[in-house]
Amino acid sequence: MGQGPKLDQRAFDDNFKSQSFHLDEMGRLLAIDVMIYFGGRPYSLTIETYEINAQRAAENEDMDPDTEPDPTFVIGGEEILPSDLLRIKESTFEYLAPFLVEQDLAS
Amino acid sequence: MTEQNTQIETTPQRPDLNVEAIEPGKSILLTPEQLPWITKNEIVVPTVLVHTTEGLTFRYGSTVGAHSSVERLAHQVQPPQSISAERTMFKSLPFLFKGKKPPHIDHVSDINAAWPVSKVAKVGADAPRLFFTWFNDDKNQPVVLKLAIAGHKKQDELLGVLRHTSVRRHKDGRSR
Repeated sequence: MGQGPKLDQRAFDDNFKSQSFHLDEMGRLLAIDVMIYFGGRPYSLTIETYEINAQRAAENEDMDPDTEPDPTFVIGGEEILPSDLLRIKESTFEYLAPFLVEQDLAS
Repeated sequence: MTEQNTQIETTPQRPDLNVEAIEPGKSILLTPEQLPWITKNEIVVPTVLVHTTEGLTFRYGSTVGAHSSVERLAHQVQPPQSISAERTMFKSLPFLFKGKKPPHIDHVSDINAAWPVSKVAKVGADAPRLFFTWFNDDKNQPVVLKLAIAGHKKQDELLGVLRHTSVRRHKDGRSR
């Protein structure tokens, strides 16, 4: 329990890469940033459980009130399961577009 | 081969990080074996000794100047956003030092640094991603290193540098 990341590596490939993640004390995956590619372009996608999304929103009290919150794909359950990642990975660009942050090309 | 020992500039002290006192600390010598994206054989990182209002004491330094691309991306971040991310990092340290997981700090995978790398995340759509690490020195005193910071839209570019996928190296360790 709590021994290292419980990430199912089968969900990841060259078009769907984990950038960072957050596990709780039980080793449950609560949040993950991935880089997903559509048409060869990289997009950042943040996936969170409802609970941690609410926690993070509450911690943003020191931010400018005009700052928009991050676009986040929120999962309803208590943890993000491999099936959730696989479902998102197989989604269309149109479905995910509201949650994607297009990455600037390296300069 | 001539040893390169480069001293990088320290982060300016800022009074708005909820710290009680800042005083000069002992410098740290770092190598590419510890932080693989460093482009010199060695760098000397100045530190400051920080005492927080919560009773924590640790040395704090920045390696942002250790790579030109990392430095360039950091300069693109607006100061208020950078300060906000740094404040979030400072708030997380009491939890990290106790081995707990602050909910607003993510673990960054696949960076082959000598110590685990964490990231401040989720503070706004245009908010920066601040990468940092911490370890105990030979006197068991915590040392916190700010590694990099970049805007959300530059995260992929920054991680390419930190994961050392965008830097070629000579066999002698120098990058080109």
